[in-house]
Amino acid sequence: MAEQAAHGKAAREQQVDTRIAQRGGDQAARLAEVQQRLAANNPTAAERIASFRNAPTTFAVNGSRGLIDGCPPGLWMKNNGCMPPGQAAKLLGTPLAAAAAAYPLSALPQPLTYLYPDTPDYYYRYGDGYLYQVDRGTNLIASLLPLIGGGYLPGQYLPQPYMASYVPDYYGLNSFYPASYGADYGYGYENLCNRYANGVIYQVDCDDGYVENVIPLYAGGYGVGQMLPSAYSYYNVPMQYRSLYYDTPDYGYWYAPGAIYQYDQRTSLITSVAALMAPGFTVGQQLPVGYDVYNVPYDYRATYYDTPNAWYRYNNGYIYQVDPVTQIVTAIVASLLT
Amino acid sequence: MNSRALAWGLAAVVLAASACNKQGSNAGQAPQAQTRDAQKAAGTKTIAAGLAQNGRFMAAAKGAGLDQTLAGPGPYTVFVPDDAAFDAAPAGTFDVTPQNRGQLTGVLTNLILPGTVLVADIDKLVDKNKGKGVLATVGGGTLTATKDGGKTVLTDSAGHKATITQADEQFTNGVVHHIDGLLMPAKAAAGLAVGQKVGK
Repeated sequence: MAEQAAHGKAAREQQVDTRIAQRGGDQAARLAEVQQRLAANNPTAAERIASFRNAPTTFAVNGSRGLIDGCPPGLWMKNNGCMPPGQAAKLLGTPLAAAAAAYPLSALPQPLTYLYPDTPDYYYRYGDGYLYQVDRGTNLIASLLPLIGGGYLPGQYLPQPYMASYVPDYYGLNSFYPASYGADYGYGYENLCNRYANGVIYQVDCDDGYVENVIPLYAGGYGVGQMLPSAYSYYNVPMQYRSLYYDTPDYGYWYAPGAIYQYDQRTSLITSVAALMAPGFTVGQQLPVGYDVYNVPYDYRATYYDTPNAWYRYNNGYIYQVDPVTQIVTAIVASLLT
Repeated sequence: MNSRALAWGLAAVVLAASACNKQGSNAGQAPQAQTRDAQKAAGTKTIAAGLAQNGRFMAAAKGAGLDQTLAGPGPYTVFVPDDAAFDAAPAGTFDVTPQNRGQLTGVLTNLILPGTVLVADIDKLVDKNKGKGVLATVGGGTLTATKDGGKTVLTDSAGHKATITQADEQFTNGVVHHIDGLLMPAKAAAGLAVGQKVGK
């Protein structure tokens, strides 16, 4: 009898295991399908999403939300100290020496000084993700610039008014950062929403606004002089630009819609724009408004000139062929950078 | 002893060289692309090197971190307003303060097109589209091109107009057209107010 029960239990467990394995397989197949579809639509978006998919595992290091060693996860991962904005704001008007005693501060690295130049009235000190503007006369901290984004950091909650502020459509950004992700995006996307405030995209929990990631937008007011969001410390430069912009001990390169940025490896501050990327188009897509002007570089004009049967347009390192009748982008015919 | 002195000397040279590499955007020096391979791909006569280093456009580009970009392979088509046009801009438009960097970037990227677009290409588009051609900028906005008395005129979304006064200045990484007015990006692209609902 006991043997039968044990056998039944084992069979049930096996059944459950099979179901779990099947579910896992289904999910994997679904993910692969989504990935494939995305890749067909937009290789860059697919690449980014594939990389982002790993982010939740990084955040799961501590097993739960909240602080790690007293730090919001985003700052903790930086491994260079941490300070919530509210606490930093209390330093306004205090002597620099007091702030430096509590948190290690240093001058900006030389390549970044042009972004925050010293003046006869002020100079800058950097530390813990903030830039302190110091009055030369009094040595008091006159203002504070959060370098990671618009003031809210991973591990904090986005205030309610911002939860109704969606990613703008002007750059096709709202398709890159949708308001929420559909069910078929799978693990890690179930309850993830993108919201926008003051030039920064916040990836938050749709229900409570818990900030999981901060993505400063370039033309929206951030970028150069800002700190690279911690979840973006991986190399994601599009393939055609990789032979030009590769990581070195001093500098790294990071792609976001609109540009490839160069950043300082030590401070993670964005030092300059390596390449401007157009919103552009991909194969299979209709040529967007504003791209029907011939723009092929000189060296390629003798080969790729418009005919009644085919147009040629340059975009982000490639020359594409376009059907003049349907205005559909039909193929990549040349890669200029590789 | 001699070998030690030589080693120190070599170290100093290496340090100096690496410092130069980092300071590609120093005042008075033509900016260079960020890596040696990018410099090679961009060619020797780049837009960044060809524009007046002490002009208002390059000063603004440096403030937005775009000076080294224009030394990169591109190619880009850049509409460069005359210095006089900069003076006519609303006060503070080109301030190179950290707080204004976003607006400054928006203004400049609205003056840059992807690829090499010669004036003949713009004119051809205008003729084909019954007198009006739309050009997409790398800033995500558009400019409208028309013809007026044989000259090519650009209009921004707010209706500001600028005429191309000097066309087709060719560089190894693109082309520059000089214009006599300033074109501004659409308000939406310059940044949205808190809580404003846009997109989906």
